[in-house]
Amino acid sequence: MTGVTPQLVRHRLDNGLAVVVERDDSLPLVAVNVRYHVGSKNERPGRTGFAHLFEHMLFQGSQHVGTNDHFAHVQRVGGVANGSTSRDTTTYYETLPAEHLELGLWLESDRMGFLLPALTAEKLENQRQVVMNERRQRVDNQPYGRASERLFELLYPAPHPYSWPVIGTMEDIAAARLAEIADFFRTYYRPSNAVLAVVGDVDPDAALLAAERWFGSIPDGAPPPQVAAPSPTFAGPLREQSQEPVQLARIYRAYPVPPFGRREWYAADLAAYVLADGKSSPLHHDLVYRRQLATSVGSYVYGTELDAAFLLVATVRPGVEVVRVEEALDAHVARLAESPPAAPDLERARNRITHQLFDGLQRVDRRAELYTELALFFGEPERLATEADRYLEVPAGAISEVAASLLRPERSVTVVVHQGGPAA
Amino acid sequence: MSRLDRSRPPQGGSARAVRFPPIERHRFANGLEALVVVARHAPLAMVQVLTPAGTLEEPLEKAGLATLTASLLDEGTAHRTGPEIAAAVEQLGGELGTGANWDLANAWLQMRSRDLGLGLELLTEIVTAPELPEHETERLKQERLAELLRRKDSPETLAEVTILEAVYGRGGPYGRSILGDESTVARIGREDVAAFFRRYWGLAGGHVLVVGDVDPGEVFRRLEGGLGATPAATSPAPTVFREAPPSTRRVVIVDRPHARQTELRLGKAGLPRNHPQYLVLRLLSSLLGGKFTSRLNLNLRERLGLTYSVQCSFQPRRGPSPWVVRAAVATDATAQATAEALAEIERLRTEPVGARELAETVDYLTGTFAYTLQTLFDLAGRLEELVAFGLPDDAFERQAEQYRAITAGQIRQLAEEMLDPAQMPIVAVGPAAELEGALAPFGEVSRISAA
Repeated sequence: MTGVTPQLVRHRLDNGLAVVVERDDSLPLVAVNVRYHVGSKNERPGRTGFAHLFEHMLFQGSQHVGTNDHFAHVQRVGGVANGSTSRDTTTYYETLPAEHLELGLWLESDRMGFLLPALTAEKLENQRQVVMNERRQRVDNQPYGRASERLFELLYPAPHPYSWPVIGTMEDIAAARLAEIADFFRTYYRPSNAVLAVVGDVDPDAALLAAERWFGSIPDGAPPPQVAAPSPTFAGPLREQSQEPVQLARIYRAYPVPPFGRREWYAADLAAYVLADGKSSPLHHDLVYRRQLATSVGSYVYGTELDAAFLLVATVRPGVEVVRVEEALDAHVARLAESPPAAPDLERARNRITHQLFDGLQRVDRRAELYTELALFFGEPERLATEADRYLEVPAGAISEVAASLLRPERSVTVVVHQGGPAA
Repeated sequence: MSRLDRSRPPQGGSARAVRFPPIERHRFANGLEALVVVARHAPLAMVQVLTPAGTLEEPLEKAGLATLTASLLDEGTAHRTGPEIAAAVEQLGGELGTGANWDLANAWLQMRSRDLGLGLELLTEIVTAPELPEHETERLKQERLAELLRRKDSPETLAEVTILEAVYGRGGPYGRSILGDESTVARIGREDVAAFFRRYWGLAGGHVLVVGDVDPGEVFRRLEGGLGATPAATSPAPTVFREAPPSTRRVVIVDRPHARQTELRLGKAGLPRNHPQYLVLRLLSSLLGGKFTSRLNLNLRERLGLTYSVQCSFQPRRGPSPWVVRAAVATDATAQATAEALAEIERLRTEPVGARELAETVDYLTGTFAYTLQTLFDLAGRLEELVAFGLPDDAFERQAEQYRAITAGQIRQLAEEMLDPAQMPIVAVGPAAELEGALAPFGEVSRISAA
């Protein structure tokens, strides 16, 4: 890919931890990113939200790091830190002044190797309350908050591990026990189930040695159990409606597509960009600009590991019938299935994707998180350098093939939120 | 190799100097000034035009005019329709945006650096010769009205709008949304937009910022024959809002009867960007609620579990911009969260900040400098701050030294002068039936409807 020539150094420690280092001396910064191959898909029914609650517990200190000291250590040297949990992985990261690389490695290795002595019931109780408030803030108290959860329940019928939301249900968050936290840690938080990336103004050999020093003595254990991915099966089209106290109706539409990394996934992602990325895209131009049926329309493909999803979301203009917008969405998808995208639309989609990749790669923390993701999913962090090419290699015909085979009405799930219902 | 000591944090090497990249300036004959910063780590470039056409210049009865005018710039020129402009930019993979804030308006374009020539041409066209067509004005007004409707569903937006009204007075400067409201937007017509554009989008007092993988000489040459050569009118001197009227403690509840949580706000007029105490207030705000280890977060979240996020912040503006504490809290904990937040503010007024906490906050604010300079957006944002407030080019590099000079006494004095809880209105967006009694001890309660 032009403009991106990563000088990656890779090494696997004896305990199985994969380490990736990239030197980038644009600024005196270093990003440390540790990603574990465990997410909400590894949870069991009755304990949804556990992987995310667990992530919170990893900021509550470890054997050598005091309860509130993780952030204190990072912030006092001018660093930032956070974590995030997805369906497939859980990520922890710090971006530090480059001379403090070892601080990041100390913090990350301490919680990978020495978490259990610091666990207490009191900390769990506190973070349980924090996470319940997080769920209220992000989902329950938001307009349309439940709609996308419902969409995934329909798209990936239970027992598919994507059928429940990452944040979990209130009931399950309430049910988590301290002993389960320790079990989860022993099962999933081991070196061979993780990747460490270091990106920034560091000497790669010295960074590898430092990684060895801090992580090398952490013992590995048995490989964690694999998650089965039952293929989503539902007889569609499925459509559900609800009345909610919102001012504008909204349509959520989804189709299952093959997982991130497959050729069809890239074709599906291109189809999403072709349809609705930018004001000049056919969906935006027709629905928002020309006919003014919708106030906004978007199309996205989730980059998930077991299965992926193609999404269309449209917010309906006041006074417009919802069915007219649904028909317009259907017509655009059908048109793409019938004939390849027009040359300018394909060029726009390819260039926008490339541009957004470059845009993200300006940040060392973004690069580090992409390396750990590609390393965990494919064992190939180097793929970042050819990610744009994977899109450019997709011929126009493949985009309409994907639309014809995957974006069929009988494979669709729709959730419509109508205006009405009890006042908010 | 020596034995590994995990018992304390490893000491880092000595800190490396972080320099803001050199700024090259050039003023053209028409009065426009260009600022160029080279950043070669990605094959991208960003161009931004700044003019004094900010929200403070619009008439109160037509609030929303500045943002509407900005949003119409790329909806048609003498040579291209709006959809043609969008297609031209998007086919290059680029992104075009226009907008206005209280102090200024902008139009920007990010693209691959190889497309800089075409990008400059497009941007020049939209900021110097927009058609501002009647039918697009009407369409964007309808879009704006739908957006205002949508915002009534957002508890955060309701809380923001209401705390501004409570602090500054309804309709006063800073007491309203830059988008306007249903009645003011309805009054705006195409002729208002055209007049506002003519009066405030004159480039003589304007700036163009170029950052990215570019050659400054080439940029200046291109501008010399383009934006720098267009006939440029001078805009009137910017309106300045110097002092906010005094605010008083009261409780405003925005009723959302079935809300699952309460959005809480406490607010007060803050300080203008160029106030001598500006950095003291930034430091104070970071210590109180601007980082994970802030007093508010450690108390309300990590000790009491009342919230997922609590913070306080304020934006740099030419006038006394709002200083606001924000938290989303479980409704039955709203009174407790309010009392704790007020107690933390009161503590700043009565107890001096400890030396260690002060030093750690300064180290955080100064140490994250490099982190905030990574992207073209980051760099352009910094240049915009220099231009908007007339700051010297070394303003950011000097901040570390200025932060280090701030004493605990200065923080306490500023808190005493500025953060009087008796002058802080409280806003709670949630179920009024549950909140009214609970919040009554904090002041006179009034209730408004969300929709």
